[in-house]
Amino acid sequence: MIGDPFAETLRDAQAGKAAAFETIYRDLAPQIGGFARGRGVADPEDVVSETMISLVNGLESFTGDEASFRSWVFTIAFRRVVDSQRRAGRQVPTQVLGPVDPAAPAPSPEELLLAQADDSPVMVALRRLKPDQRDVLLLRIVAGLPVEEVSSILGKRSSAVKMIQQRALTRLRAELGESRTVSSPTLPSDSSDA
Amino acid sequence: MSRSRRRASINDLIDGTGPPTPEAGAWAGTIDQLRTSLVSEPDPTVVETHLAAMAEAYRTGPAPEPARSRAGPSLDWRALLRQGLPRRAFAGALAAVVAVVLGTLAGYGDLPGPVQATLADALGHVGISIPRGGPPSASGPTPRGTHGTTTTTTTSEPSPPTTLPPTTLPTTTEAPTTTTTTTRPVPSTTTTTRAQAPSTTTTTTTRPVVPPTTTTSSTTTTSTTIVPCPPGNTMVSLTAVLVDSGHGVLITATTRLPTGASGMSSQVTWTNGGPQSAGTDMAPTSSTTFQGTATSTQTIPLGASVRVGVCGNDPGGSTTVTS
Repeated sequence: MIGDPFAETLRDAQAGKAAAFETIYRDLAPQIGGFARGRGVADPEDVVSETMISLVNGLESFTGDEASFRSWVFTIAFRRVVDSQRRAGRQVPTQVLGPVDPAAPAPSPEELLLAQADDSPVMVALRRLKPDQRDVLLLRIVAGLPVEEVSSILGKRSSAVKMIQQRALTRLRAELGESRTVSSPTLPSDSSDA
Repeated sequence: MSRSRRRASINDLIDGTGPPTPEAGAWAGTIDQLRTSLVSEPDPTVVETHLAAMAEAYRTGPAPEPARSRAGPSLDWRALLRQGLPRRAFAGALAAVVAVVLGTLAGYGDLPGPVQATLADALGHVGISIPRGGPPSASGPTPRGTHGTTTTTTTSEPSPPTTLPPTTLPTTTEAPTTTTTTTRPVPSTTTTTRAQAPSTTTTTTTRPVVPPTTTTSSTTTTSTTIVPCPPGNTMVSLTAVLVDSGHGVLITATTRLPTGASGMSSQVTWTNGGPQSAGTDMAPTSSTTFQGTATSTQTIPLGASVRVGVCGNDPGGSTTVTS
């Protein structure tokens, strides 16, 4: 959070001052990147860049406090993530090839998928959540948005967001507990108790 | 702990406002693990690149983004309107408008005489019939209804009230030697005073203005489509005399045009019980009188019905051809 200097920072950013851009970037970029990473975007830095450019383009017309600013920025980020994943869905996945060893067997599609996926315990656990559970947790915990803003971005009632958040966190906790005892990577699944 | 209390507790914990409890501590571990594993400071070179991109975006302003949708690319009409339509699209739209206008004029026979005749000949070869054109209207464009509409020998039509000047109009009653009479009832609200007609061998007919939507005819043989005309048109007198060895009918019509209805002309058509001939413009001989000739490739018989309309067929008058 920028805190008290937010109003001044916003004014400076609207005037195009580089220092204000940097303040906003350093405050928001890590969380935008985390949100994109949690959503499984292949290149979170692209999402950060696109979100920041959209932010600059819309900055002139923005009015409001820091909370509404963060909500606005993450609304942009949410859309950029969706765009990015749609684009990725239309593209054929490629992989940078290293030196070819003719004797080595070619990797299977499953092996390629596992090689590309971030198989950290948290990512594995997140992939096991339902999409709306994952979005609520990422927006609430990683982005740090209040329930009302999350409900606005996702188009759900606040009570529904709280319910989803509780179930998601329970599930995530269980998954992370399992991952400590199970070392093998897990494929994505949408099954849930919700 | 009840579900609702647990829900509120988790919510407070995420917001950082919950009281420290043993259970909260367990949840806090999960929350921290999620936060710390996903949120990380970006690489300095990446920061530099992104900040440069932000500064550049500020300098250049918002760039038009390609529209994306599941259905494929779509046009940003607001941007197009701001920037103006592309030249090709504008030229295409203009050409389409010109083609429609020319086609409409040709259909009504309003193109200049030689052009209309050439076009009529050319289209006639492919089975499309359009008017060959007639004397050009002296007072500009000619609003009218449809051509080739029905000849009505006797009609009974509801009509709105029409008030005619009391002294300047010729007869509305039949002349003594009339062969056929078309009489239409004048509504009770009409206050009309008419002078006696000259004693000729013609039939004179008046018909008040008929709104297009209420045009009905008790003896109409085919349907008639009439475009709206300004009210106040009245056919005052109409004569039709055979000329040109029976191949033509010289028609003289006197009409009363409404105030400000300049640009109209009368149009004549004729029939002998069958399909009506194509309309021919009549040349105005005064502000209220029109004269024209309907010609035919066959001999026009005595007793054929001739119809004249102002502003298409409304108001119109019909009479029989005399020698």
